[in-house]
Amino acid sequence: MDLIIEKLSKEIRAFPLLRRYNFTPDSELQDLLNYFYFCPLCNSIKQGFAVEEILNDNGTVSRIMYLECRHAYNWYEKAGYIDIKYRPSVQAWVKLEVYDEKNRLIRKLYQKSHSFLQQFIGLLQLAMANITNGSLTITGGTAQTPEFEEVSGTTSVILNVMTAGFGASSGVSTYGIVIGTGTTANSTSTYALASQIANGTGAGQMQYGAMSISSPTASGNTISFNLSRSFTNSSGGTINVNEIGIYAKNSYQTAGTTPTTITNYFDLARDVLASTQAIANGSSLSVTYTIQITIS
Amino acid sequence: MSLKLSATYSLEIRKEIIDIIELNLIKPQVLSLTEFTDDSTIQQILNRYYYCPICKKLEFGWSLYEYYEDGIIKRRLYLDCTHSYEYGTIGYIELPIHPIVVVWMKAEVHSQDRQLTKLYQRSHSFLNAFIQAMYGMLNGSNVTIPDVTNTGQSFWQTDSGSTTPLNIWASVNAGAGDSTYGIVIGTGTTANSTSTYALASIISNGTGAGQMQYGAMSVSSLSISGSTISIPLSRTMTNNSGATINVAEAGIYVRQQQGTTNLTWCWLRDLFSAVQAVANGNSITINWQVQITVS
Repeated sequence: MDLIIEKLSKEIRAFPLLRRYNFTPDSELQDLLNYFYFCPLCNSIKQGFAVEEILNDNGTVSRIMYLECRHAYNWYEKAGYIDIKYRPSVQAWVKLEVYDEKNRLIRKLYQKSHSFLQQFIGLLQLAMANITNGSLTITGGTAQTPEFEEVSGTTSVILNVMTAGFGASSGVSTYGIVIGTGTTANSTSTYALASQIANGTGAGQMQYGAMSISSPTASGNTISFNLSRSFTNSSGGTINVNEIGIYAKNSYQTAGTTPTTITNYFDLARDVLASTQAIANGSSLSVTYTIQITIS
Repeated sequence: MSLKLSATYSLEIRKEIIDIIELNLIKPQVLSLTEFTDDSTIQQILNRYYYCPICKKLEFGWSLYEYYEDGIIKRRLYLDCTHSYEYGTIGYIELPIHPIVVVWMKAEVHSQDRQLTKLYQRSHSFLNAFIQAMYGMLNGSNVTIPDVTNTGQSFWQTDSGSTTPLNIWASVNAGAGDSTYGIVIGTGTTANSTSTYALASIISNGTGAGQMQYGAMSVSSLSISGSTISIPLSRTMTNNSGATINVAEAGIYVRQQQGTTNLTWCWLRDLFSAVQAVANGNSITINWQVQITVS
């Protein structure tokens, strides 16, 4: 035990100095959030959860660190971190960037994604077990059977296993990355955002851009890919974004002489933000999910 | 990244942190000498940071190996650095972690009348084929991924416009005697890399030299416990080859059937922290638990 104390006492570091006039690159933020920190409010050690960076009027960037306990600290406030990391084999990251009406980046929130939902792991279970009549809860709250396979012998040739990107063009808010104002915590039965922001220019609405998904790239022993989407607020008022998610579309044609196209939407992931992102009228928000595996 | 100390770093902060670390220290729990440890207790044991005297740093728990010797169960704890120690001989600290996905692997060797060993470890590696398949799914596009023969094959997410039906998307539900997909085992010890596409040396189905008889795959329904949801997968392989076989690796192969063509990709592969010797007449059961925690 004495060895542990001795060792940890050598591992403790103060917060690193970050760029005074620039936002921090994602890879450095990932590094910081994988450390453990001492939370004076909890009086215990917690892992990093999110960093919010805000561009000040004088051109400097100020930062707030959120820990897993949800307590937040100004970057250079009384705190220290322990130089021990936890690197899971699968990680997902969330990035929100707010741009003002002059398209200037004014705020960046980078946080760990906490939650794939039951629909995600349920999809894997149905596929792995080769179950063709199982069900998952769609974003409307009812159970529906996703189709991963064509019915043998059918004339139907339309089948999209599950997509969050293909066809999720501008103005489509039924799937892809979606945003909302809800703050309800996730549970094992969460099937949708608590309060999704609809596409449009009316009160409380935002204009959904087209989905963009980059191909996986390797860096060292890590492979990752990004899903991203922009949203513009032309509603006339400020909109507070508190939650984001990934909705996927499953579509197929029924068998028979008069096939019908069936489309269902499933929420695969949902995250409540570390801090509310207020999007002023004329401003825009860019949301990026990074899905990452580390191979060893 | 080069780290610089901030101006506010002080001995006072350092002392405060050391104090709280001291409060967090927990004595190692005593485990049974006659019973194998249950899975949830092992998960707790492995979710701790231990001081590795060889590395001279804190390392995360990786694996616990339990085996009979002199009539009692002995235990060896493996850390992420791959160094191992007799269980209970090194100190640890609890630091809360919040992984979005955790995969656990369990290998149990049985003789005809009793359990001989239990190896429980945190799975380290989904492979390139898995994340490529997830990318293809979310992008709604067919993607070319090296299959288990290292041949680039199109992993279908959609067959719109095709005359060939997508009959099976990504199944592991292989029957008895089929070692081409599902949970598979091998004797290879090559480390994983971003280009790993298969087991290094798969043990094929059969009763010949170096072969084992594969049982049917079991893919259970989703299991929900608190805020955790998991998929339990398992398979038993029996050694009737006439000699001991050393199992050193295991993986999950998924099958996609495009029309009448079967294609196979390796989504996950793990090297065992301790090689499992399966004597003739004995069997090995591999369990995998793919787990998400919702919060």
